[in-house]
Amino acid sequence: MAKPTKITNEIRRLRFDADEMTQAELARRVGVTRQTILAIEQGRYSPSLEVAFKIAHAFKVPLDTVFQYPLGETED
Amino acid sequence: MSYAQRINLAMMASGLLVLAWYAHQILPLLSTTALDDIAFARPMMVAIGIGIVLSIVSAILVSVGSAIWTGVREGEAAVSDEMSEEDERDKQISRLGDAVGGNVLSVAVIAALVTIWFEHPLFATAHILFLGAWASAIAGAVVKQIAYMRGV
Repeated sequence: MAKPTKITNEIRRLRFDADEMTQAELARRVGVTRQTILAIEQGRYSPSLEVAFKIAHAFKVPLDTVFQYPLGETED
Repeated sequence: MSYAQRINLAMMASGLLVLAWYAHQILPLLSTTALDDIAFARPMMVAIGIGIVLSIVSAILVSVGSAIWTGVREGEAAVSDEMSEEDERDKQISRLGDAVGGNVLSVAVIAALVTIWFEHPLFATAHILFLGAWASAIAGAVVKQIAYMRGV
């Protein structure tokens, strides 16, 4: 439960690049709570594919620009 | 702290208050009265009733408090967003808490059945069920809080 996800993301940078979009604004566009955006940014929650696509759509970028999964480092 | 998390905390606090009240009613009797003679049914029913009412009242208070606080901090438009339906993370955390709570309750039910088979006093069976239900709710709420804080 407490293990951080291996999925990394660029949401914070993308928000900054998108005219310093707030977490609340992104949350409103995606349809989740601000706390969920915060948890995703901090790697404490892996969103569903649907939410991941919505986040990418909010920034008008491909999914893999927002989220990265470091292949080759998947084994513990 | 999300709205769902605040509601969860309020429910947990309500549960603890009710248990404290019930313990205050029953514990002093344990040292002076035989188990079969302790009139626990009425305080137990009252505790269940208080628990239900307290949960509803605390949820209303948290909702009103959250709306006022969010309105003051972020404006009126943010209130409906804050109070909107729980999102996928809330639901996932809720399912996790419910699963843990369900397991705790299952153990309590089995323990209660064992007390019936071995013909223990009704006091024991009733309290295993009562405390099991309470422990189930608290365990679920604690797991949810941990999941909110540390991630799922």
